[in-house]
This record gives sequence, structure tokens and C-alpha cells, in this order.
Amino acid sequence: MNAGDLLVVENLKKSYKVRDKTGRRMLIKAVDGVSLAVLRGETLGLVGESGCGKSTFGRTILRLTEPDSGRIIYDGADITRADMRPYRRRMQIVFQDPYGSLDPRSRVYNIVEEGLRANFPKYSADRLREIVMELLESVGLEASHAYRYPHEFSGGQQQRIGIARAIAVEPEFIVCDEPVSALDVSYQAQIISLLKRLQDTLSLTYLFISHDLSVVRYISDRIGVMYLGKLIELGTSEEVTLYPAHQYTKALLHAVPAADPRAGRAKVYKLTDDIEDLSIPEKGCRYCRLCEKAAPVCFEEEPILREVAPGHSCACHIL
Amino acid sequence: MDKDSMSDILLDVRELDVSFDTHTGKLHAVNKISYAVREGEVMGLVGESGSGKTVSSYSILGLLKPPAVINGGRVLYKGRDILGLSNKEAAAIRGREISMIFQNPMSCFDPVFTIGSQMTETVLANDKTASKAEAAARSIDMLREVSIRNPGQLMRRYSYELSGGMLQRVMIAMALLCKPKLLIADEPTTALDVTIQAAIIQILKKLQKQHNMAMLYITHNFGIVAEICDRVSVMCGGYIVEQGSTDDIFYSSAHPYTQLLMKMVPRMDTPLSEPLPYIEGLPSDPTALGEGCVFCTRCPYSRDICREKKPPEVSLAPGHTASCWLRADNASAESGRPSV
Repeated sequence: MNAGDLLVVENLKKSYKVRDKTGRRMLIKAVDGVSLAVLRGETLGLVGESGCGKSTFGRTILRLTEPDSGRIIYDGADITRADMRPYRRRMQIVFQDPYGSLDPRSRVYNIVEEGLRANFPKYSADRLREIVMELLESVGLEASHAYRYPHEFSGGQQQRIGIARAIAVEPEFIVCDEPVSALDVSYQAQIISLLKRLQDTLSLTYLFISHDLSVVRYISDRIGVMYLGKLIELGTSEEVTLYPAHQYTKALLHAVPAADPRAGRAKVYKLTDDIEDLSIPEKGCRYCRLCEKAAPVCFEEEPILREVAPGHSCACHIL
Repeated sequence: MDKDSMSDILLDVRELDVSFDTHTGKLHAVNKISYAVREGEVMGLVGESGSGKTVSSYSILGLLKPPAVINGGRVLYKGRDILGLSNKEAAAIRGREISMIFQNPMSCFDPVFTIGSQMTETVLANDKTASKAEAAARSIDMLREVSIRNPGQLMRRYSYELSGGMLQRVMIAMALLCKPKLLIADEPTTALDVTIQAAIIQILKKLQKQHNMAMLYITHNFGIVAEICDRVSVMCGGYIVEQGSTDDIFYSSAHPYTQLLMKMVPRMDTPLSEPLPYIEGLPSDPTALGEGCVFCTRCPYSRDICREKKPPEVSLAPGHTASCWLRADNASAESGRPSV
């Protein structure tokens, strides 16, 4: 662990036992051995499509759900099985569903104040009110919004309320779990800009989870790519988006539609209809069945994450 | 493509006006909009949430229910006004001539029936001469066309067993079963992962060309517009603020809203140091529109006239129009009328 690491995760695993719709028991290995570190002050983007485990990862490191194995080290302290109460103030989360994460029966004022009151019991009512109003202003809302209910706001505004709540307790680290995915494109840009600004003024560290690589690229210093529970690539934003090493990362990048009618789409996308193809294979690389460059070894041995350039690692046999 | 050929027009929407009577007031969702889609052409309807794009497309197939009120306008399909049709008459067009696919495929299927039974039902409902066996065969063929590798097996499955991407392909197959002339696609890939989205768009493009099918593609994503649309109508607050070919919109956009909307699409090729541009404020509240331009409160170029009067539709090039006072100045100067 380096001095600059705020969060270090070692070989984190989290599985869910489920029954599928036909009653068969299955084990979903949502996070299957992920290790990474988040530096103080940086934004680490975690990217991947549905089912890759990124949201589970974000929740597990905050102990919103318990890990099966592995270690979580926050600011030098092992919090894997610790009492999280002293850490809740320092580690916060902004959720994907803006409306679903706000208590519909509470006014905005109370939603934002609740955490403040719990963590700073010595503050007077006046001081609390002052802080709540400042917070609302800092996220682009108005004082008059404080006494309304969540349903009276648009999705973008609801997300701002969620952000105000998260920063109210003066955290150090915020997991942003797909904070803009449910929003209109014009709100996305607003919220991303807000998050960036707050990061500077409040010295925050972010783990920014998203399936949208073009959005992640804007806010992240480094990007990690997940596929079916594993981290398959990790590097700076520039490295990963300009010089992607993994075939899946390349597929993700090429899949983003370019806003240019003359840019043709060279790649032909393979689609699979077998549900089995989307599950984790018994052996070999998880991506082998859909990978363009798959070689025999890919079906036999699972590749491990190794450095392919300074600060850039990738889990692939064909490099 | 011969832009002046009037006989080509398949769908002609003229001055369509729709509002909702709500307890907080009249919500004017669609304000006298007009656009046309030619045979085999893909028209993109672009705008933020609340711009009226979905409501206007629902009215084409008679899918609007109270409190929606169609205040006026005409929707001509092959020259015939289909706006005032009875449900029975509209049903004859739905699925057969004009078909629609939606954003959330799961809600379009009945979970207690197999995919196969729902597809054959669609064929039989629209083609009284087909037998059950024929309906099944046609369904299997169509599933193959959307790259389903085991169509026979899929016919026996239930909707909840399939992923979003697969369901969307099945929905496309179902929509195309009766070889419609026009497909209305309401944000069909918004809920899907980006690689699945790319594949679905590829399929739609292929099928569109193969069947020479016209499409009305509703989206807020300009990247998709660039990829699949021939023409674009940009909507804001219930109005069409700009309309033109895809090239017009991307390379010579005239309306500030269009330009800002395009700038906000995060791109993969811009330098990382550039901040992401955004539009201040919220999309216009359709219940509180003033006298002026629908975009004036958020437009960086708005002037007094913009807040006072609705801008006229200005023709910038053949087939390219924009409703903006900035452009009106030039046009009126050219025509000799006093500019405001």
C-alpha cells in the first residue's frame, strides 16, 4: 500500500445464491476477486455493462453488503469486518435512482439535515439550518426548495438533493453509483460538472461507477474496466480510452456512437442468444466466447491482470 | 434522393397539436408541429424529456388516451388522414402498415404466454389467410433476421427468461412480421448496454434497407441520429425548432438549442482537458410557456424579441428550416422587410 492510497481493496469476492425462474439454484459470482487502489483526491472510474459487478463492488466496499472474502483497507485501517459507524461520515454514496433514494415522505430540508444532525450533535438548530441552505445552494438548488417533497422535482434536481445529502457530513470518499444514468442528456452534463466542481472545493475522492464510457472519461483520472466480476483492464483515462489493451474495452469504445454522420461504423457486433454465453465459463477467459482474437489458450486458462505499459494493466493472453 | 418529389411522402404530419388537461392546468405537449417522412427514409425526432416527441408519435397510431386531447392538425398516411380514425380503423393500420417498438421491451410482452404464441398471434391477427403453421414459420424467419441463432428454441421461451437486448430484438421481429411501411421506434436502445445498442442499431439499419422501410426514430442521443437517420427534427418544449437532413443538422446547425444539445453529447475523441458543456436551467416547463421562444430562458443568445414573440420558421436551405430570431434577421434582410 502506498502513502497516497485512500482505499485499497484486495481480492474482493461477493457471490449471491439465487434461484432462477425455473427453480434451479445458481451461484452468481458478482465480484470474483477484484483488487485495486484509489488514490486520495482522484476519481477512479469503474466501467462495465450490466452484470459485470461494478455496482456490487461499490456497495461492498462501503459494507452496504458484506463481502465473502478479501480485504478492504480505508486510510490504512482494515474495515473488512470493522464497525462501520466511525466511517459512515467519511465514506458516502450517491445512488443511481434519484427518486428511489430519497424518502418521499420527508422534505428536502430533513433529507439533507438528517446525516448532519446525526454526525454533528453539538450544532445548534440555527447552525444546522445555515449549513443546509449553503449545501442546497452549492448544488444549484434554492432555499425555497428546502421545504418541498422529492416528487416535486425533476430527476436532475432529485440527484442534486442526493448529492447535497452525501456531502452534508463532510465526507472524504464518495461512491457515485451510476449517478447520471437515469438522467436526460442535458442533466448529465450539469451533474457531472457539479461533481467535478465539488471535488475541487471539498477535496473529495470519487469511485465513479458507470456503464457509459464517454461520461466516465470526462470525470475520471483512471479507469478500471470490469467484465463478469473481474477487473480486466486498469489505467489512466487517456491510456484506456486511447490505447485500450483488452478486446472488450475496444468493443466498448467502438460501441459508443460517434456524433458524426460521416464516421462509419467499421466493427460488426456479435450478438449471442444463448443465456449460457453470458455466464462465467468453467475455465478460460470470461470473454473468450465473444472475443474476436480468442486463441486456444483463452479457452483453457484464465488470464491474470498484468502490466502492459507504465500504470496500465490488462488481463489478456493475446498482447 | 429527389427531395422535391411529393409523391414519395409516406407520413405527413401537419400542425399536430396535443395537450393534456391536468388538475394543475393545460399542458401543451405538442404545439402545431409539422414534419414528413418519405418512403424508405429514416426521420429522427430528437429532444430532451418533455419535448413532446413521444406524445406526437403516439398520436400517429391513435395510442393517446384521456387526459390527452388532440386539439388540431392532420396526420396523413399515404394521403389519408388517420388522426380521427375509430379504434377499429386504426387497428387495421397498426402492425400492418405502421408498426411501433418501445423503450422497455419487457412491458410489451405477456409473461404467461410463450414468445412463439405471441408472435403467431400477431401474424394471425393481421393476416386472416395465414394458418398457424405459416404464422409459426414466418415468426421463425423473422427471428432469424434479427440474428437469433436458435429461433425454434426461442419460440418456446418466456419473456422473463430473456435479457433486455434479446427481448428488444424479439420486439423488432414482432414489429416487422407484417412488413410495415413505417416503423416508429421510441428510444428502443436507451435502456440497453452500449455494445448491445450498437448491435441492435446495426440490425435496424440492415432491415430498414432490406425492406425499404421508413422509420420515425425517437431519441435524445445524437450519436444514434448520426448513424441511422437521413433527416432530423429537433424538438423543444413541444415545438420543432429545427428540421433538416442529417448533414444539415450536424454540419450547418442553425438553432442554438440544436448546437448546445449536440455539444453536450460526451464524445470519445475530444481532449480530456475540455470541460463538458451544459445548458443551464431545466427543460422548459410545458405548463408555463410564455409568449416568446420556447428556448429563450436557456438560450445564451436570447434578446428582448425572443422573450416577446415566437420566432418565425426560417428557411436556410432546401429542406432545412429553423425557428429562431437570429436567423430571421438575415432572412428578412434578404427579402427587404424591416428586421426586428
